[in-house]
Amino acid sequence: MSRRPPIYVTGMGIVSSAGHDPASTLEALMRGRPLTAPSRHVETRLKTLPVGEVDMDNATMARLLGVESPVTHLRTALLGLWAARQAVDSASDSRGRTAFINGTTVGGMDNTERHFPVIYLDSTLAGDPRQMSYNDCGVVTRLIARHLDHKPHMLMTPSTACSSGANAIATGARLLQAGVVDTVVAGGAEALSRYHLNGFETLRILDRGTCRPFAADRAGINLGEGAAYLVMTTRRPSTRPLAVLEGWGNACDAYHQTATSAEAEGPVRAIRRALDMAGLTLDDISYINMHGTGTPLNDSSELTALSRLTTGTLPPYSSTKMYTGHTTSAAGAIEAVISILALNHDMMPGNAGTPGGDTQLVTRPVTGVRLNHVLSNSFGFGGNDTALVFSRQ
Amino acid sequence: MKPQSLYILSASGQWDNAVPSVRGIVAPAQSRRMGALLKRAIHHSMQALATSGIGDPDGIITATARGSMADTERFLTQLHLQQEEGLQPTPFMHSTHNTVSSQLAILLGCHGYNATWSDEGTSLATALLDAASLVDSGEADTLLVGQHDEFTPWTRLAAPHADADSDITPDITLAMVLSSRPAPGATRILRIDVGYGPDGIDGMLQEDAPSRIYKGHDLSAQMERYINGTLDTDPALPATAAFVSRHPSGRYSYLLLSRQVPKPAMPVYEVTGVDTVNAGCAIRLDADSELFKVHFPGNPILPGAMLLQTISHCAGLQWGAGDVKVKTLRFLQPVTPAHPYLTIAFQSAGPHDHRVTVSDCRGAVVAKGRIDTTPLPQPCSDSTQS
Repeated sequence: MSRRPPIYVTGMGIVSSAGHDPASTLEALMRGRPLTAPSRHVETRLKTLPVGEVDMDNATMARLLGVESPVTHLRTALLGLWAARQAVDSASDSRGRTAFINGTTVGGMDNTERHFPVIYLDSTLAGDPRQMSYNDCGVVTRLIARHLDHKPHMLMTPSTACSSGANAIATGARLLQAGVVDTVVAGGAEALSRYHLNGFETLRILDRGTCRPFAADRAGINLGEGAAYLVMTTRRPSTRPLAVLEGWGNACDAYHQTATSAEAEGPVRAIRRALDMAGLTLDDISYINMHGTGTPLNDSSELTALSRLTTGTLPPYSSTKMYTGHTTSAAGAIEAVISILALNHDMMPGNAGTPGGDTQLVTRPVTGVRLNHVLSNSFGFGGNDTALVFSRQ
Repeated sequence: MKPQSLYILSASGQWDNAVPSVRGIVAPAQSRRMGALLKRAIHHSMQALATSGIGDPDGIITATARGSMADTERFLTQLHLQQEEGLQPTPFMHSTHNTVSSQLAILLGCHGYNATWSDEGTSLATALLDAASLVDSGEADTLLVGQHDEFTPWTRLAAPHADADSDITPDITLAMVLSSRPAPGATRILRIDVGYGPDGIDGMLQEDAPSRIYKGHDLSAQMERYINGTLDTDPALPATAAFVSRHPSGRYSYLLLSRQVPKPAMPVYEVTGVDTVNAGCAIRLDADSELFKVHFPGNPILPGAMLLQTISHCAGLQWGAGDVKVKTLRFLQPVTPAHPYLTIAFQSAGPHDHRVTVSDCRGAVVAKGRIDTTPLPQPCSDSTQS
């Protein structure tokens, strides 16, 4: 096979509870204080659970973005549009045929769950039945695309639960190398909803307090919301690219619909594939941004996966989910941006609130260390596991 | 894109909400938790895999425009009626869009590539584009690709009021096995284009000059019939067929397929006897056939599609060609030219309903199934333009 052209990251955007752009996100990571707090915008009985919520209501966000209905009803689309515009505006180079690849699973659910009781259960059609047609994930992608200045030529919506954002980025890179498009805007968007807050609650995996990934007494997830995108191209940009995506790997745990296997077969294969493609071993990795949700099962099987991939000590690692919450379909993209911020600022975010035990677990923000290669893990329901390797350029 | 070498080896599907049995494939305890969408997906995926002769694909890619709607509605209903109290986890767990891809992976023990695409009316084309770029990059050689969507009561209620840009996806179950290597009777994918906004379809049609053009919002059923050789009975066909979808949302897709018909110059079997009294046929496989040299080198196996065709042929000799449909077929053992003599026996199970049993010369049952011999109504016209 011929040599694969490199994938340059030339722009990025991010919106989460940790910040409304890359600069404020970096600041929050440097400060290193957990940011999850009870929700103000979701109508739910689960009000006391900490979440990573973007501190702005839909109307304010729509005004800020200068958009009108129907996109204003869909929080996922608003968050996505905000981050996608940042990414496109910051890119030094975004010409040619463009694909917009947007991972989401909640899609229009926050809107659907408001209208569903009136329209379906009361069947009076007293509500606005048109709202039901905004439920699909692909509609959210299309509504974001409609409001971008440069219209994408192709839309794709991966929906692989909590690895959707990472799969969007990996697919984008593959399509660039196949020559299908010239520029890719790829990432993910997800709003908090009553639906998935309650869904995760039925699985009994939500922490009542701030999540503590990798702590011995960790007790689960804080959900979150947000969006993030990368702009990628195979053409060498005129200015220094933010990073190079050197490897990606997608594999399936094929074990259980919602739980990861103890031997972590899916994560091992995904990470190994990404490292192989990058021509690296785990020992070459300077820092790992972990999936690290805070559930007892995920965190231990993620560490098992890593220990299966090296005979030496693990690279320094941390989870950043106490700043953003677990933003599910957006998580892979949000953490890709965090990984690139780490590379560009020689900084490793701290896994706040967790007492040190493992010497390789970074518990406080560390600056002034040169990072060359960063691994970012994303594991999802359905055993959909994806790993990305970003390198300094 | 124009895939370097990508073939659809088999296709199996249905476009209604009937629920096929998954007995013998999944344990009853598991099957009870599965919704109709998942059962249809599993049944037809296993069918397509059996026909292709590939039991362990390198990866699984699923298209779903709407996701697991029945489970979503169940969880939404509970959420509302029970006011967020005492909810059951199963509808939530099964409501994520990647449920079908994930359950298929668990069933097949497939740790390879796994993805789910949710792109309204272009979901299937997007999944095929993902498959093509994956195979071209060398990351996979064989893939199970499908579209699985359900038309629920909620969808029915909302459809007439839908946003003008919306695509309302009907019940779709389509499973296909793709490979980088051709096999007799396979359909080659020559071009895939998925897009948004102004399209270049007219230019592509001019360049490709397909012998047939099919247009419509959902062409999955026509694709399945084209792949299985039942869409067009014109003997000059098939050469190439273009499947064109333009949606009000601005999304569009273009697929150019070419069905490779096995050459009649290399017969694989001959019918050596027909018993119209006891309804059965005797078959002899030609061990020297070219087919067995390629399928597979050093390990000759009769392709599932070929056995299916043989059964259709024999049933046609009994009840008239064209009125026979193989409804189900379970492959129990590989058929090899080492045991060239086969017996195909039909046994009545009701009006126009027959059991079929295929045994080899050792007496081993190699396949079992059901056929439907209901005379077909006059064919109605497709949305076909040529």
